Amino acid sequence: MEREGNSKQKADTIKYIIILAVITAGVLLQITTGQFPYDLIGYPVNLMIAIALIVLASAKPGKILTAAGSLPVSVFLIVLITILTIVMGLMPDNRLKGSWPFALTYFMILINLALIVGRRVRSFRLRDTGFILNHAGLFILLLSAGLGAADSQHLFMKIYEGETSSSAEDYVTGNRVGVPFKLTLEDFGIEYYAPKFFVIDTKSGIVEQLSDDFRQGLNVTCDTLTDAGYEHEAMVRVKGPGVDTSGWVSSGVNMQPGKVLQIDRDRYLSMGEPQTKSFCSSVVLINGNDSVLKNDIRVNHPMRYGSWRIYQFSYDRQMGSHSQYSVLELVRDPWIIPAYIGIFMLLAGAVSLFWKGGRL
Amino acid sequence: MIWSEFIYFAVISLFFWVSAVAAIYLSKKKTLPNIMFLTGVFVFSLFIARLWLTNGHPPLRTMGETRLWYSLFIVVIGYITWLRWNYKWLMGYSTLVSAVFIIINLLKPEIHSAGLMPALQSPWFVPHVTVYILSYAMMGAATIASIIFIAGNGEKHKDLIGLVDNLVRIGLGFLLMGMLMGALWAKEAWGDYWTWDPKEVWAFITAATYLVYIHLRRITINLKLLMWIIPVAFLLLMIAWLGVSYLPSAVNSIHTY
Repeated sequence: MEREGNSKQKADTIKYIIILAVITAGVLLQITTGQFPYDLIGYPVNLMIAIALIVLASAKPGKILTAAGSLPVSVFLIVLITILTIVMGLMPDNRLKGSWPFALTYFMILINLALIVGRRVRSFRLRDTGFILNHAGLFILLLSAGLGAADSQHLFMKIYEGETSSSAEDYVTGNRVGVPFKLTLEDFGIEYYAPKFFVIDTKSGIVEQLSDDFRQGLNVTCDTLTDAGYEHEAMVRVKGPGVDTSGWVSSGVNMQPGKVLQIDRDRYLSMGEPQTKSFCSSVVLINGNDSVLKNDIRVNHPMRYGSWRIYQFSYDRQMGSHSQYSVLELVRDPWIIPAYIGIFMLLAGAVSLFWKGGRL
Repeated sequence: MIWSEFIYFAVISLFFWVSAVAAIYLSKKKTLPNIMFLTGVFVFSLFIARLWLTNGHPPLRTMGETRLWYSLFIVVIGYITWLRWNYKWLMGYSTLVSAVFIIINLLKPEIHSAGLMPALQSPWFVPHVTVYILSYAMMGAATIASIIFIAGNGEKHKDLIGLVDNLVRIGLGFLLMGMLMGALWAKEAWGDYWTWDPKEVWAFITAATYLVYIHLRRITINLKLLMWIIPVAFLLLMIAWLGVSYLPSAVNSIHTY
């Protein structure tokens, strides 16, 4: 009995030694070859690895695979990735996410998860649903977010109003890349929330903000609002007891004070900088078959086309809403569907975690 | 102005919610707190519905409007958690947080007109923040229970383990929901569901640490040593919540405000 216990203990420690050896190899590779070659795992390599992992999960495990998919190994790997991530969190850049040790830990977690899910699915009972949602969901999400993201493209398209473009600049390499559609920017615009107005009383030195509840008997209407050269300007009309005047006020820029409007002998009206409500690029997308899609691209409202999504990214900040161009970000992620499947499985798993609590 | 009517709806709702909490502690039956609570929810929802109809769009465009949803969601989720798990303190807590949001809306009425910046104008904004607030409450309670366990000794505190297990799982459920909803939102707003932004890095660390507890719990016999993970995880949670902005890695974070 004792001897069996001893050899079991030995087998226990071997698992950890193997994991640490893999990490050490990762550190050595990092020193000798630099960052993990992320582009090498793009299609079809990532798909092959994914299939290999699924085959691994469905195979009947022998001694080694049973150990690799065991709970102590899971704990060891979670601790390892946590420590690596803490290092990442303390470093001013996050180069660590592309390093060999991080990538190898990621692969070991994938293998561990695949084996765990495979084992549970083979001996499925209804009460394992939450367990499988959490573990399989995490497996699918990690697979898409790591291996799958190697196929993703991030491009930037700077496009002038009235122009049409079918190429964009790669975020990583800086190369110009063609895209399978043509985009025309019809218009770029910025909308602002109504600006805030202040009344400056030069006699008392008091500055007060006007609001719906506090108007000092004044009625301020704003006719035109422009924002050329960083500065916001508004044509306002102020009416009140003994006051009826109109003129331009502006918010000022940096150290330069804005224009104020004299209301009466002691009081002046000034304007605060209005906050941005939305950035909007009105575009027309023409695909290979000459079918035309019109869309307004705003923050939080990207345009969808196949596996592409087109985002509002930037504009000519000096010109504000008069910007002649817009910068769009074009993102293609062919693994987004499995990523969403993983996320929704995990969301369902999180609800089951809440519902079941500590009663296992 | 419909906002000038808010005080009536707010006072009535809060009256019902506070009474519901009092009834939970005083009465053995759940009927009275249920009625009180749901009446409060009805009155509060009535105001949101009125605002929605007058605006002609969902009231999610200003800070004041999002605070309205927090006030409602936090008590509703607190209520569901109470129904499921009977944690009375959580109802008290969620009512208190809700009251804070309501009072801010009442005291700073000029903020009603302040608009949300474009990135925050998303239906994910409110649920993303609300589940995190509840997660912090569950994890905070778990931390207190774990410290009592570490400080005390003997069989007397055996039931504390069950409580910690329960709170950590419920809290982790909320924490993961917050992260996943954040991921879905980020995909819509920035093009990627995960970018290792400093806030994301620390949220990952926190969740992973609670995962270590849950998994280690099933193989460790030394419970006292194991319990130390909970206060450590809570410290990491605090870094993720409040400390990230002060880290050198956070210069370009989308979460610094």
